[in-house]
Amino acid sequence: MKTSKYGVIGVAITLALASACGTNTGGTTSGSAEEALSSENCADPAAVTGEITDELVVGISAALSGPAAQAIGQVLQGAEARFELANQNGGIDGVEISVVKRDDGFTPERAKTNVQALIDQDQADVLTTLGGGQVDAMSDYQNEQCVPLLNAISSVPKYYDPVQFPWTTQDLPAASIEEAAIARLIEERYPDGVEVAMASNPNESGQAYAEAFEAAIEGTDIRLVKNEPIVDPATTASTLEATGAKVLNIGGIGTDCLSMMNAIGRAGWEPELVIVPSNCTDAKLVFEPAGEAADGVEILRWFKEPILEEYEDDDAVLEFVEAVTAAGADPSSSYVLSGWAMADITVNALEEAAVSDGGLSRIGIMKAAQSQDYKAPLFIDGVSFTVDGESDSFGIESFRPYAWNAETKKFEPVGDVISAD
Amino acid sequence: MPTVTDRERTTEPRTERSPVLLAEGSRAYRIVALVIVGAITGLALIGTTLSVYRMSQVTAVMITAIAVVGLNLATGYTGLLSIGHSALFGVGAYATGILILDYAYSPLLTLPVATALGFAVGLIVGVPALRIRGLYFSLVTLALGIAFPEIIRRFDDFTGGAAGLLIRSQFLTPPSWTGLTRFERGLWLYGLSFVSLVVVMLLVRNLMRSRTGIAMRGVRDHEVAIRSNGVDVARTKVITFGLSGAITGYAGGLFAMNVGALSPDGGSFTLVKSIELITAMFIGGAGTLLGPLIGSTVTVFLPELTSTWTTGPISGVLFGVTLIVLVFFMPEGIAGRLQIVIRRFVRVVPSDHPVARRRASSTQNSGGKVTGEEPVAAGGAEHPPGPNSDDASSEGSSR
Repeated sequence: MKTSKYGVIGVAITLALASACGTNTGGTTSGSAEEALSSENCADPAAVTGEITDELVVGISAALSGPAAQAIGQVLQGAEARFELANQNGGIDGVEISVVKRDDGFTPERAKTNVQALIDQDQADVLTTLGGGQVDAMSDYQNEQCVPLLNAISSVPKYYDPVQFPWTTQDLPAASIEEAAIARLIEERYPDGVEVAMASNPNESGQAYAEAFEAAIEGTDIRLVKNEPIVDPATTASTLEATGAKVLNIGGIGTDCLSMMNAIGRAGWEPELVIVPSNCTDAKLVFEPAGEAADGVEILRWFKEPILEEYEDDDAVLEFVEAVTAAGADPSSSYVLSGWAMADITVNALEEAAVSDGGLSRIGIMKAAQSQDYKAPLFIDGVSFTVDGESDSFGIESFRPYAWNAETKKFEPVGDVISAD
Repeated sequence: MPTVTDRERTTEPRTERSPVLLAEGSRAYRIVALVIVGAITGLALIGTTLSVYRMSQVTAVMITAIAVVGLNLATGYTGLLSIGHSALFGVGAYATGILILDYAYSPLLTLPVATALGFAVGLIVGVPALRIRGLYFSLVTLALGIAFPEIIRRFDDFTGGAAGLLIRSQFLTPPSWTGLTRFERGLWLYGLSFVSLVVVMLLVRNLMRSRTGIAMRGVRDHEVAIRSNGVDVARTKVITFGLSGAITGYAGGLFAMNVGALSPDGGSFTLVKSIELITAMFIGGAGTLLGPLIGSTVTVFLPELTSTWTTGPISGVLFGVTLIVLVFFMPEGIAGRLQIVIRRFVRVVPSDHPVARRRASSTQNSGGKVTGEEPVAAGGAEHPPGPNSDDASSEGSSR
């Protein structure tokens, strides 16, 4: 035991001495987004400006195994179908897109090693991923190496900052934007003000929704009477029912929306207005299983979808259905649509880069991705993906409210497009 | 068709090859030790030539292995099954993250703090072991494992709450004396993890050969008997859990430096991590020195391998089936099985082993010629292993 004691003490002293030689040289990046997006800060500056001529490799880190694999697999099907369509249309200025996927099992550690493999081994020109934890694990290395991580399917507030993370973008609307639109919707319905109860997931996404909603209603007649975490949905529902609020705003992710709708149904609580966030959009997994409890529940959407009756014969929708069906995917799945949308915005950035001064290089692609005003064929009229790389990095900022009809099992529009601006 | 001669041969008593005996301190023993040290050093140097991706994977293996060494101390050697080591791992990781981000510590300086905090939390968790045992104690550790992510969310001023902590690369620049730039951080972490793993394994090896180590095994194998021999069982359990927490906390600190992203939701500090550590320990071999390293290698690389066979949820099933097959054919773990196989050919005995003493006296009588080895009967029943032996039968008898 003596040996071990002395050994432990020796190691501790050695580490302490070694530590004294190290310094924490970290600091926060400052300056403009344009300065931040510079090849000078990159590990290999020459690689950043080099033109991509042979093929453009899109590297994806995603859960190909584990519990999340089924849903994420559908997202990837949609994305790959869109990239394939781009290739069929001649590629990006003649450059074909190839997709390399690496399994992260939805764990950040594996996403961390994946980003290194995608960049160093697979020579990815562009990256993407799904989930805030994944972006957290990948962002530092890809920003250091200056490889664009485009339109990650996440909505982590810090990655909307092009100064701190100049090589990272996300395609989901920020919680602050979506909750601002929800606040607008409530104001329209209740011009004299109303009491709102909120049920939010205790995770990062849920807290972001809650904080964003509180910020959005400042200076309005809307009053948040209680924000209750969704730990036990039944308890949450009964606690919020006791407030007597007329409006329930659910800040959760897919399964939270389903469990909360079921819980308020069982409690017999019938708020005048129930709103769920856009990530709860899947009809088959969220709304249909909730049955009558989901009737009239509202959600903000920005896509024309095959499941929306008014767009069933829309050209863009038909093109989407044909492409994803050919790829063996389910066109009615919101996950497939989500992947398609991510790839669609990426393809637009690549095409804009190809005709820009920077060309189809990493820095050219990043500049194009940070400065888009894209009215995608699949967007509802009045919605666009607009970013300027400086003051506006939020992409989607307009939505149209839809309500679920439990009898017809369809979403029906219940208002015009609302802008969060 | 067997001949008469063949049948006669089969009826003869089976003579197995006797294992070679290596006496500790002998020249042969030192040569073997040198070869092993050389091989390890060589492997470590080869590792520096790997791609950034592979090097990062090996670093992840080594960090996981350190955490499993900590778990092995409590569970493998002492029999205290812990399902809450994810929390001890998280304590170390968050200590490093908070000290770097909020207090501008250099990353290395956070490691002793992460270790000390892991030790303190381990001691506290070990206290219930004074009164409860077996699965009931495991339930206490389970509660810790469940509570940890909630505690992280609750104290968001320190921990970043649900949003987590992101330690960016500029905070993790290698110390200037290494001569490495921040773009060579992977190499620095690889080296640091390698040295850490070797040091931790040596410390545990020495600990297990000490009186405390014997007491720990005694607690695992026969608590009543070891207590009747004057061992303070309560003290042994609490200190073991403290040391286990210290090692796992240290691994958590390294993890924070390596991954840089800490979140209560990511699976890094939830029960999923505990299960991963337990799996690695049992696959590698509980209560063995090399088991944690082998088990960690399997748990890091096997999912990647199975995902190349097929994609989607099926690859997860394949991973599970492969694990089941491994456990079925090697219930003592890979290292445990290797020990059994190796011991058929070579056995290490203490320098005061009777055969070693006989050899030494015969060497003196023959004018100083030292062979360093001498065959003995297989099984060695007539020469029971001493307390310092690496005998597999004494290391894994509780399983």
